[in-house]
Amino acid sequence: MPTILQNIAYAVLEGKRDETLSLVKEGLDSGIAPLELITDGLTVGLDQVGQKFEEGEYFLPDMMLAAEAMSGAIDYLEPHMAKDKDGKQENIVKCVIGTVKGDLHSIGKDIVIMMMKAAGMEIYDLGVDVPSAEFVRSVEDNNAQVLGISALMTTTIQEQKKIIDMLAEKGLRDKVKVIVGGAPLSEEWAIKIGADAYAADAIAGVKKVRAMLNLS
Amino acid sequence: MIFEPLSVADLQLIHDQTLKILADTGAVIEGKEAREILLSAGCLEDGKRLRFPSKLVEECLTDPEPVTLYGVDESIVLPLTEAPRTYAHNFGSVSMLLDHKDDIIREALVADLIDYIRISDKLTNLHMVVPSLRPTDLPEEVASLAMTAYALQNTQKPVDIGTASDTWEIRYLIRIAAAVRGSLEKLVAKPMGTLSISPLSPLNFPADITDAIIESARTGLPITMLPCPTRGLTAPVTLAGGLVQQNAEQLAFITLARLVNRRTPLVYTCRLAAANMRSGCVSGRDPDLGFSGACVAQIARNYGLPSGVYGMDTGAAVPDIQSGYERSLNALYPSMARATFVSGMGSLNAGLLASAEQLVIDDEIYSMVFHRQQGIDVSEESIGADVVRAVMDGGNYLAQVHTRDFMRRGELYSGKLGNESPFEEWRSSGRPTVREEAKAKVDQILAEHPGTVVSDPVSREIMSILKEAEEEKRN
Repeated sequence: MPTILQNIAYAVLEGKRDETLSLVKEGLDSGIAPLELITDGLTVGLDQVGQKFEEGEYFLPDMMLAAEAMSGAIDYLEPHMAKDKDGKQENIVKCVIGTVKGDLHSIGKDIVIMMMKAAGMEIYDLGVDVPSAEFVRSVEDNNAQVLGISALMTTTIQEQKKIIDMLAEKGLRDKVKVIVGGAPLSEEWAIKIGADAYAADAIAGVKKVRAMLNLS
Repeated sequence: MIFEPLSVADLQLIHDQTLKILADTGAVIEGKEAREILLSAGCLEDGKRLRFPSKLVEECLTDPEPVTLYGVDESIVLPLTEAPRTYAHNFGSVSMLLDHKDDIIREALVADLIDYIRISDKLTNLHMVVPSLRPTDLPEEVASLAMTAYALQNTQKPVDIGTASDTWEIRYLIRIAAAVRGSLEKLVAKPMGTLSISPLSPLNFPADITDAIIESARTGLPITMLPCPTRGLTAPVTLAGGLVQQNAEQLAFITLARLVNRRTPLVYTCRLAAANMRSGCVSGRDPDLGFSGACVAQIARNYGLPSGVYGMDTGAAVPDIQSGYERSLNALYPSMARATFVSGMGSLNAGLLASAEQLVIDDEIYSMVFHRQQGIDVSEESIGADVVRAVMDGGNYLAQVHTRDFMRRGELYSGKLGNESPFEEWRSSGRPTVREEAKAKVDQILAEHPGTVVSDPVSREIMSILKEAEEEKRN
């Protein structure tokens, strides 16, 4: 008979939000530690999802539903987790993300956010049509290690450069890794505007962020 | 002969479900003036959303205004309403191109934009020129205006006035177009194109967009309503659901535009794409692109409105076999459904890349697609039983008046591009490919094009309006 942890992994794999949550509650009640529920249950499921995606069996909706199931369970577990003296979880990657000024497209950005959350990162979502200064301010205020800048239109991608230039002006450029995304972009463009990375999709985005921060 | 993928019952259900969505869910409408106009007409406030009573929407759908476009040369006329045929136009606003001389992918410059417009000017099956390239050597804040300004100076054909993202842009686009016609009154009487405005999907009209709709409708110039939903990302994943949602976006647009000005000419245009569920981007390899265009054309015609749909598109990044079959299929469906406009000429890689040689090849593809768009003439005269008799009695089909006359009437397709020589001949002439032929044609058109089509004073006026816009933006 499968264990609770195996059932949790399977519920994530199948993208079953309610079932994942009730299994996690059950696990917690039966005395399994929150961290164990995450690493040996939820994460196992999500890793399998990632594997199936790479093998071509799973598609974005499968990923999104699994990520939602996972983040729902993590939200529930959060108050039960060990914290540092400021009441914050330690060693968590903080990422500011938003869509540039003049651009109202949110879907791509939202997919990236969902995948980053599922990968355990803390996200500051600035939304869409965000002025350059606000990106810079949020990076500074939240001491973020990563800044994700999204732009979908050929008319708005210039804003990405403005933000990167502004980071340099404020002396913040070396403190944060900048990753850019959006359909009209290219690796070439990312290099041209001085970004650290370009990602064609959310999966590549999470991978590149992890690589830049030397996470396994 | 018109391909109609939807049954009468399908059309009715699409209409009913559209009204239901508008009445029960509504659309996000921002902008003070738009909200006031819609609320005073009976829409209901529901937070940021406004819900549209079905009666109001249906009233605004009645007696649509006919639309006719005129070339920069006014003798070129495109009647859009109840158009007896499909017109084609090129892609718009692409910043990267595949250089036809050395096959390098590079940024587009103003000189390229002018070349692309001049090529478009000379292609038989390209009926309206859209400002195609978005050059990277233009000041970003006036790029859209400059694109229209250069287009209007380099083609005699109808020209898409531009895609406007706010009222500032609309005012300048109209001034530039009016300078070519001589006055705003003349422009409204004989518009050379439409103003395109895109709401966001799903069902979201930000303030800049509603202001732009109101401003455009007041001028009386034709508007291209341009929702661009993606199935599975910004619309239901099903084709039926995608069609209904974009229809709701169109009907909300129509309601606002016609409450502002009952006589606003409108073109029901949609770019309904499907998601690539691995990348989260629009799929360029999707045969539904063409098929959904056929459905959109049918829905628009049901409302008495001219339509504009995708048409050619491809995931391929070079004009290759993939590009050829994907473009042909996606051009064929909507053209057989007699969409008023089909788009996409000259674009590659799901609209991220432009190619001059592809533009020339697409002229050939549309020439083939349009060849039988009207169906066939089945009459005693066309069948020619007496001609059969004459030949059987010892004549020769080549020497029949029937053959010559019907050939002149276009009965036989005559291609301009591509090989049909026997392989020995083809081999001895250096194994030419269609891409090489297209590249040579590009060079030939550019060498022969007469250049700027408007007079010097008009050119100067256009450029001075552009300069004024640039200065205004800078301050």
